[in-house]
Amino acid sequence: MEREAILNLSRVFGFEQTEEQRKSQKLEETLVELYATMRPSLIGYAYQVVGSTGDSEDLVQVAFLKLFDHLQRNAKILNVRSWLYRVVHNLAIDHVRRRGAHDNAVAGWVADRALADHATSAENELIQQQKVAGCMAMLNERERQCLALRAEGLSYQEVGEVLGISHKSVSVYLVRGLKKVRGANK
Amino acid sequence: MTKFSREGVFPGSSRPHLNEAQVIAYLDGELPRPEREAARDHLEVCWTCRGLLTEIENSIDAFLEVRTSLLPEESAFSETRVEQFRQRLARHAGSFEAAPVPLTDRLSSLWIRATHAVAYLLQPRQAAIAGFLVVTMLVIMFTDALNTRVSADTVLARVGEYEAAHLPATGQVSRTAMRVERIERKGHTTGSVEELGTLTVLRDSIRPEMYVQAQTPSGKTGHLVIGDDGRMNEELLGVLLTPEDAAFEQYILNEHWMPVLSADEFRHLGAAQGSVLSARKAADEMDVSYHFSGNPSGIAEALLQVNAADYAPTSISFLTAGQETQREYRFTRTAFSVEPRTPEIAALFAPAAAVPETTTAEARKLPAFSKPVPLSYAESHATPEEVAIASALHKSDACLGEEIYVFPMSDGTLLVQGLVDDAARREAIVRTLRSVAHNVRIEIYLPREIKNGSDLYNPPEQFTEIAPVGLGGEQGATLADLSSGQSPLYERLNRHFSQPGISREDADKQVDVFSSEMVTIARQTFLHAWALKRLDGEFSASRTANLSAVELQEIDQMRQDHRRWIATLARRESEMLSPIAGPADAASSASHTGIPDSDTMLALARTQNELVRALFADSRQAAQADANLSRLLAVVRRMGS
Repeated sequence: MEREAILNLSRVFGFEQTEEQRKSQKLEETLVELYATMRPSLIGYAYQVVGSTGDSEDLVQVAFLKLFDHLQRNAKILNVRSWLYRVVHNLAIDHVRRRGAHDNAVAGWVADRALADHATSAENELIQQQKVAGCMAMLNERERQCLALRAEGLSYQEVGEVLGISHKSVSVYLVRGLKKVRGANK
Repeated sequence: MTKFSREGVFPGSSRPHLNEAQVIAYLDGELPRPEREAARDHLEVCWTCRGLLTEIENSIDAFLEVRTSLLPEESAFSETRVEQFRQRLARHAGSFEAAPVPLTDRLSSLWIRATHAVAYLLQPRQAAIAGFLVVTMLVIMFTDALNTRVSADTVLARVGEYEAAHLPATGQVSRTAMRVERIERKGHTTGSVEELGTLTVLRDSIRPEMYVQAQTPSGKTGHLVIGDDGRMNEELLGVLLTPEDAAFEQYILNEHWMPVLSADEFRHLGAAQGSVLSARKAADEMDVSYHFSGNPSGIAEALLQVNAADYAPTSISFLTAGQETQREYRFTRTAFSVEPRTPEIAALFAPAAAVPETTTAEARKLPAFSKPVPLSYAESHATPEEVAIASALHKSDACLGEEIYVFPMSDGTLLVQGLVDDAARREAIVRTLRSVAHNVRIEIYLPREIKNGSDLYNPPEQFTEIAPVGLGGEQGATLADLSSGQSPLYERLNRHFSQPGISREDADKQVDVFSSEMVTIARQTFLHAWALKRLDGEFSASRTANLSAVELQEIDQMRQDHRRWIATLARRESEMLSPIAGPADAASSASHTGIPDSDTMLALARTQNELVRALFADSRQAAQADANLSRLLAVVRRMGS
């Protein structure tokens, strides 16, 4: 009863929350929803570069915090999706450089599997490993990035924006990359 | 009969075969319209190109398969992750310092932008169409995407502020425990981590000496009292370090490094060499490091790690140079507490002359870490986190009559403790608190969960004013209950509400509604004045000395909110009362004597609350009704001015 009375009064006078606060909270809410939607794809991409789920999760969150700052600062973003991929890409590259290691997801994956079940590794598991390692090893960094971003559904233009290259170059990397994949699978 | 040509052109078509890039672009929907139509027509009739298309589709499938096997499995905790991000964003948003642009402009355009941006995202095709604006975008990206640098000096200054806020007050000592580790790295991998032992450091509020105790995992101990300008010695370090650490030991001795995680002590390390100071910010941590070259000890970097949320230093590392193998000595803070300076502890700081320098065989036994206890406001400083919590409680109205307090604890943590009426309310408050403070301990009880009262601490400060009657309890009594009698103003109110065409019952009902509203508003006014007064103790000048302008502004905002509520509610009372008051009272206006301070405000609010109850919810004081009404009007006008 008492609490209801308080709440009704708040409504009558209508200033328990300012317009500014409401808007800022709405932005936060929007970003959380966006995060929930985009999280798996962005983490997938970051993982491919840094090779650790924990770090990927963190990088993606940092990218969203930057997005928040950016919007708070009134900066213009025309395509949020490629903006996010770009920031995640840069953060991931930076992370790898800082760590001084270039063990990407492939090496990490192979090492993990090797450690996890080297005793019981089934034959087809081994074949799959070799196939993956073979396929990914043939791709260079750019080809891998272009293929991964395209696989996430980005247009050539967007892939180009993320990687800072032209959409024509994207096309070239895709052709080369797919050719190598085909070669590895033969 | 058409013969199949394997040359560049299919006989039935005027177009040459598609190359791989064209086929892929066709599959990806990236060809401009005329080319796309031409390619489609060609593919319909050309087996060669369709074969290529199938081959490409297969390699896309193969790539996707490989990629899927590489991706981390979607964690079962994605909801937890999202929740964790929600909290992180809330904390981040809280610390976002507004640029000096008019706030309303900024926010309205920001909202429009955000909606637009998200609308674009939800419609990828539109996003693709918007590609021609890429130039603008690239400019933005290049300028901000890698903005992870932070100023090392700023970080160190903040660390200094953190320390100042956590110094032991007179009559206390601080106790820090650090884990000491040696980490060997080969190439890129983290190699072995070996725990060398722990260092416990006691710092006094009275004497300049520092008591340091070293203990190895095997139980070997040593201790040392270090004076004002002293340093650690070989004996003490020898407890933790082995002969292979000789170079590092020499470094520590040469640099006079004291085992303290502090900004000053850290700066001291950089002062000696021509060293380079840098800082970097990761997710929840910040690193500040000095790089130096040519130190004979081989140490090339000293790195201080700081918690990004509150600038508490968490560890210090000393790293050797080396491409292939690198060694790190890391001192990580594992516990910190402020505790009373008992005679037992005071004896530890006795001058070196009075106590043998080190006794590795039998170090004096340190009393165990005591359970953290709440500190009074006088003994503690307000932290940014405490402000954030108070502000969150304020926004959820938990500062109005609910017994919820933020306790600064002796170990430097915060405890939010209190009592609420129902579980739903508790849940709402806990959720609000979790969104601003992740490390805080929250103990909010329901009345039935309190067994003997021993679970609840006393408020950090009782102010001299006597506790308000009925705060928290006697909910039912706040609404005017006139069933057993008539309020002193009944006749007058009834006259006021009895208009031609209004039945006697309706007029009675209106009197009841009016009285109830008066009582509710009066109580609300009083609760706001009470909350305003509470802020005085909680965020007194001495407690807030170390806070930044942003936090001070937040505290000020809370005060202003309460004052605004008081003024609005009092004005509402005044408006309601004027028509039923006598002509003399109705005409008089508030006598201005400046803005009342929080004490005066509380006294005024108490008076108005008591008068309203006497006039509208009590049938015993009919005699002074007129005088009371005049007094009440004067009081609410003063508060509403």
